[in-house]
Formats: sequence, C-alpha cells, structure tokens
Amino acid sequence: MESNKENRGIQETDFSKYSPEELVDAFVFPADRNMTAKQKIDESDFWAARREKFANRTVVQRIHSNLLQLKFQLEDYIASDQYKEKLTFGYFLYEYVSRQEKKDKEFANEVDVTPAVLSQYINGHRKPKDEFIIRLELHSNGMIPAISWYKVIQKDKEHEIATNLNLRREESKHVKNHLKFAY
Amino acid sequence: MYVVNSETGEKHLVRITQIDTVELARINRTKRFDFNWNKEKHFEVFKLVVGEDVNPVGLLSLGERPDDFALEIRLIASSKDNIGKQNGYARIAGCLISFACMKAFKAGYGGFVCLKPKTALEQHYISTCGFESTNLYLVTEGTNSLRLIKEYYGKQ
Repeated sequence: MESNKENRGIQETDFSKYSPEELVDAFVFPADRNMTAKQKIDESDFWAARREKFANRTVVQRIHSNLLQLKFQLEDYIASDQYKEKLTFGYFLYEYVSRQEKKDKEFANEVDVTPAVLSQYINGHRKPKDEFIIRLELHSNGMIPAISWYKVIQKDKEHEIATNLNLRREESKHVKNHLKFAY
Repeated sequence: MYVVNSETGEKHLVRITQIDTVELARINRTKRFDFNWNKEKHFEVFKLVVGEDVNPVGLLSLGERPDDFALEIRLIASSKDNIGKQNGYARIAGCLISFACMKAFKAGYGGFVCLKPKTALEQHYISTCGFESTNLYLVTEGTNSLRLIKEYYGKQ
C-alpha cells in the first residue's frame, strides 16, 4: 500500500511498512467517495436490499433485536450518573414485556405473578423483591442479568432518598442537637 | 473494554466518548493521527482514551443512515505511535468497531454496521472481525455484532 502525504501538511505514516493484520488492527481507511456510474447503481441497490431485509425481518429477529436494544439502553443508563424520571424499573419492565409482543397476562403467567402484581411493578406501586428480578434474569436467559434490574431499582431509590423533602421534615422531629460545623 | 500493551501484554481499560468540532480541530493540529480529521466534522466522531489519560489513542468517524437502519464506519485511526505489533496498544480498531456495533443495536438497527474496505485488507477484516462481504461494503450485524461486543466489552 502506498504512503500518502496529506495536502494540509499532515505527514502520513508509511503504510507499506506494516502487514495487513497490523493495518486492520489500527485502521479503517477512508473510502474513495468518487464513484463510477456503475458503483453508484451498486450502492443504491445495496441500500435498497438493506431496507428490504430490515422490513422483512422475522418476528423472532425483530424481537431479539428490540430486546438487545433495551438491554444496551438499560446498561447505558445504569452506568451513567444521570437520573431520568421516566427511566424507572417499571418503565424498563414494561418495555421488556411489550418488546416481546406479549400481553401482560401472558407474561405474568410466565414469571408466576398475578397480572395485578405485574401491573403494580410496572406502575411503580410495588417494589420488586429479589426473587422477582432473579425470575426476570432467568426469563431472559441471562440477557438482562438480575444485577442490572437491581441497579435500576437502586437508581430509583437513590433519587427518592436524595429528593424526599417530606421525609426530611418528618424525620427532623426525631433528631436533636444536630452538628453545626460548616462543610 | 480494554486495549493491550504490545510490549508488556498488560491490559488497560479504555473509554470512548464523542468529541465536538473544536476538540476535533485541536486533535487534528497535534498531527498524532493520519488523515485530515477536519473532513469528518459533519459526522459523529469519537475518541478512545486509555484510563484517565486525556490524549486519545484512537479515533472513529461514524455516518448514521437512519433511513437504511445502518451505521457506516467512515474512518478509524490509531495514533501514529500505536501502529504495528511492536508499538503501543493493540485492539484499538477492534474496540472502536465493537463500539459502533453496540451503537447500532442501541439505535434499533440490529447491530448493522458497514464499511468500505481497501481491497487489499478486505479478507483480513473478514477473518479478524467476521464481516461479510457484499459487492461494495463489508457488513456485520446480528449475531456477529453481538460476538464482537462480547469479545471487546468482555471482562478484563
């Protein structure tokens, strides 16, 4: 492979010194964007085929893809420092159920809870127990581990503790002689 | 996600973050990377840094094609001191490719990532990353993209 010299004064590496393996481990080279008429047609055909394939995914492929999307979005969220009011345990549980294209009743049966309890989890009216998040892990065949579900619950809890003014007011009745040091 | 020090074999955790045009121009001026990265300012550009270091050792430019449900890798470069088996860190391009795969899952594209390879390197991308060859592009999606994510995001 020939070495290049950028016309803007960037001295490029002599790529010919390296093996293909070394180059693949270090680069994806810029593509030549000046295409022939034939290449333009090929490119247009390529993208048309891509759109068609995407539109014609099987149900299983679509569900798998949607669940992986959810898994990575959930992992992103628990790794971030941000709290988003919408992204509760209930939200992710709702997404987990709906992306499988299942009715709540059907899913509730699969994880051995009543539809009413599932609804309470989804709407944030009941805190999930460890047993339930373990069931979710088992149900997803490990795709979304229990620990990930736990971290979402923990994030909800952290926000609740950090922002609960009523509880602070209530508990202040039980605190005497508090420290007055600056910090 | 980690890179490997080619000399010692030590693994080092890395972070990948998006950079803006100001930082892109600044990095370009350092001349630590091949190619004119200012040309990528209309695309999403990411830097890969080792540990708490602020200087990137890898750059990635991604073109998003929402209408085609795809991400295109336009350009990847390791910094000039990290090219070759004897130098610096290995796995830089692999980390950036698997990052693109992860992003393609998050976007709902089923992990679909493509790139236009240099002809001489096509077979090597296929054998090392599992890309499939089409007439113009190399493509990874679905199971292979997931495999790349597991390989590069796996525990250190």
